[in-house]
Amino acid sequence: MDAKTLYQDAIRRVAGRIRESAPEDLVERFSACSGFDASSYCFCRPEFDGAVCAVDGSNTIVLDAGSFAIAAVRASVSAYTGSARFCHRTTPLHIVTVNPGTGNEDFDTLYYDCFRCPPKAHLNHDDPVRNTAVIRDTLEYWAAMEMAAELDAGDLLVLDGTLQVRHASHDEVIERLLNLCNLRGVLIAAVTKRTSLTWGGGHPIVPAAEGLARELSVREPWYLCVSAAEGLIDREEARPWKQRGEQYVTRLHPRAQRAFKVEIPKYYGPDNVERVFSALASFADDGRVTGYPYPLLDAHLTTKIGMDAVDQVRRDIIRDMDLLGMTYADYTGIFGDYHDELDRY
Amino acid sequence: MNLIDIDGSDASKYRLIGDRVLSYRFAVPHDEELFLGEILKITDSVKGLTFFAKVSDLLHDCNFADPNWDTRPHTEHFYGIGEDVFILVEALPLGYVGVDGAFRKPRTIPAKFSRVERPGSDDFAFLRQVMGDIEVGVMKTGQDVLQDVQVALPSAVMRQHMGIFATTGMGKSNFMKVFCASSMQARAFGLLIVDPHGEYVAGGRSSSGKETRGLLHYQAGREGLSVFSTRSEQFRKKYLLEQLYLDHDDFRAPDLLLLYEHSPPQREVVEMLESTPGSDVIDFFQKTDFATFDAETYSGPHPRIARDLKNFSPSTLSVMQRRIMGMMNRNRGFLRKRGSSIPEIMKALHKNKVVLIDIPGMSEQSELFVLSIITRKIMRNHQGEGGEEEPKQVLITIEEAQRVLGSGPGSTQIFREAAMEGRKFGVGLCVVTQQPKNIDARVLAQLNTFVVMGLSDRGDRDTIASSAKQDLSRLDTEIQTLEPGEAVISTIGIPFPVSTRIHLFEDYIQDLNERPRAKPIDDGLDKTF
Repeated sequence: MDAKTLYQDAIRRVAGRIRESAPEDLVERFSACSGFDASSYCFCRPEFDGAVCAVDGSNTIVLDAGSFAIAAVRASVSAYTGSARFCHRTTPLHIVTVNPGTGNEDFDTLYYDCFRCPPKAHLNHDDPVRNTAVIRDTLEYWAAMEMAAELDAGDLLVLDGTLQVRHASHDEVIERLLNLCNLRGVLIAAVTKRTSLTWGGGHPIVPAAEGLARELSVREPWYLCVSAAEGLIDREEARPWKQRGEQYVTRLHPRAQRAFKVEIPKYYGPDNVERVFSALASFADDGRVTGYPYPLLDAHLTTKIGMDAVDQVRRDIIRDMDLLGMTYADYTGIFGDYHDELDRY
Repeated sequence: MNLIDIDGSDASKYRLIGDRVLSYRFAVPHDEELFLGEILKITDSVKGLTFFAKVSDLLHDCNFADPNWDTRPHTEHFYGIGEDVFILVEALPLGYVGVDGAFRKPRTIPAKFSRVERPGSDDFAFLRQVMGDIEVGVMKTGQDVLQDVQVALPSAVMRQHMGIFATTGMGKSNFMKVFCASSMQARAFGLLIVDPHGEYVAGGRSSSGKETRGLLHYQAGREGLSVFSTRSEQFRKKYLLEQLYLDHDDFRAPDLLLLYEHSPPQREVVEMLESTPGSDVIDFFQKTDFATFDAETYSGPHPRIARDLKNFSPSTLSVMQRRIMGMMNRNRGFLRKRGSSIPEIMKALHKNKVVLIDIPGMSEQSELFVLSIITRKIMRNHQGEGGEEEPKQVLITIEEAQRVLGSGPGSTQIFREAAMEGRKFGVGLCVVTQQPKNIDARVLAQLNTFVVMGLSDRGDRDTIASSAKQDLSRLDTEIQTLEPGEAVISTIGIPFPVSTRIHLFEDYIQDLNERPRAKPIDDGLDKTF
């Protein structure tokens, strides 16, 4: 088989798989499989009298030596009431080393700084990017705890992601966060920009729920509890510490580009659920990202570690290496690889 | 571990981010009220220099990568828009003041992120050193004026000609009256102005119908004004005006070229008689019957003229005769055989007075006729002066100058001569026109002072921009948006084009009348001793 045919076959195969996951009759199948009808979709008024506080984090690998990497991590919060931002905060930019294999001193230290106790599980991933994401989550959860302690009853705390944790050390942290919110009457929700949730053996859940709403002419903003249908969702995680919330699909504005998934604690009654979605919908009218809660975008823009910041960190590291008597040749010897050479061509 | 409050203050605004020496750029909040033409101060604390720049363009901009963020339908609400959405300001460098207080042209660039702010009157102290003595208004910055920064034209450059460009209703007459009043006060040069509408003497009505005052109302400056008028004796006596007379010898045949279209033979007749005294020409044409005219048998008092005209056809000469008679008839109010006001006019001009030729109700031809004669007399007088002394300075105003300084064939030799050569004899022209594009480019190139009021025609603005000694092209938008009574003034000595709010004449003369007069040094000696 020649290269062209090989390539075309691969493309055809991939397209076929996409078609399989989203067949022509996806909506009909979803309707039959879930039993959802128009009454399953709940309307929420885009009105909210409280504050919405969003938490987001950012992480990036600054330098990679192969045997270890250096990453920059931070988390930020942005809180709005009405159209005005009343809180705009960030953690310092943390520079940490992330190494494949067992244990990470920087993670342990940072975790202790945040929660005044050592992590229950060490950072043992082989992938430095995954390790960095765990460190970022640590900062995000800590920032969320700080804000949960400050917000008033009835306000909403929004996390970027899910209520599931990606590292065992965060299990008790999220429990504490949920308890704190519950105790203080602060609502909490996790917004996922892109979800891996599927149903019926691999069909994506968001396009199916959105397609059915369209077919049923459901008026926005709406939300649908997809985890309410018994056995609908494919990927129930095996480990119970990862399961904390009900899964919802929502579309918050008639002009929204797309629907997305929201996770809300299982124990919320219908009034609290509606209040959560009303709060999200009331901030989903920004012209730039219509349909997406603006405080989350603001937190995202605040926390994003751009190339400028990365370059600055690199320069600062080189400067301090110089103070330790190391040369630029030492720097390139440790952190340079042939990718840099290849990138020039 | 702590969560740090992000500083809400925005350092990205009002700091220089441009990258060019000839164009500055900075951002201001999206809801900031900033106007074209506004002058801003840029403080370079690194080099200790203070730069000045004029806002030349304003545009909305943002930090978003998405170029369509603001054009999508149904996007009426935006949170926190002021952080990433802003107005980008383009500013034209004017120059900078160094530690020595001297103003220099913008040949260097302010340090990156130099602070940009609105200047106060004190910041323009350097301008007082370069401003002239003929006050016309106050400096304008955007929509406001800096009351303490007077704009004054230097009288010393008046011989290098001046242009006043404005369409109807933009305040041209008001400017001229303010200019006259300041000239009456300064007494630094003689200013000739011919007024066929009779509005400069005692006022009248503006183009908008509003009642206006005249130069006579500037009582404190009365000594600096001489008026030669064709009005009734009663009026002249009331206001102490001189009667205007021109005599036949003031006239020269080329003056006819201004009044009529001439065929080539007729033009030859004019050229033939160019140096013949006007009284002889008039007398010859008054007394000769061209139906029977024969140069060989002519026995009248002007045989030389008869000889000169012997080869012209009787019909050509008859036409010339009719025209001379018409000219005599049209100007009989002030044209007589003997006795001219020209010597008095000249004397007044050389005493650095404003000389107003007030000929209300006269035709356009009469206006040009008078102006042509006086201009020629001034030119010949100054050309004949010679000597070691600095020649007296006289500025001759030509209203609707495109009539006599257009780019067509040379029917206006004397004005062209004044424009091209007047400078060295101390004679300047004040060219007033609504249509600068119709003025001969060679004449425009001679002008060193430009007073540009509102010009809506792009061709006119382009003509001005290409003729001015300072770069006015980047002030095009500002010139286009000038309001009545506002002007952009470019002149020698003032280091950059200055936007000016021209004084309102009525307010200005009231102020001048109330100002204490400068007393001569020996005033009061009689009483003291």
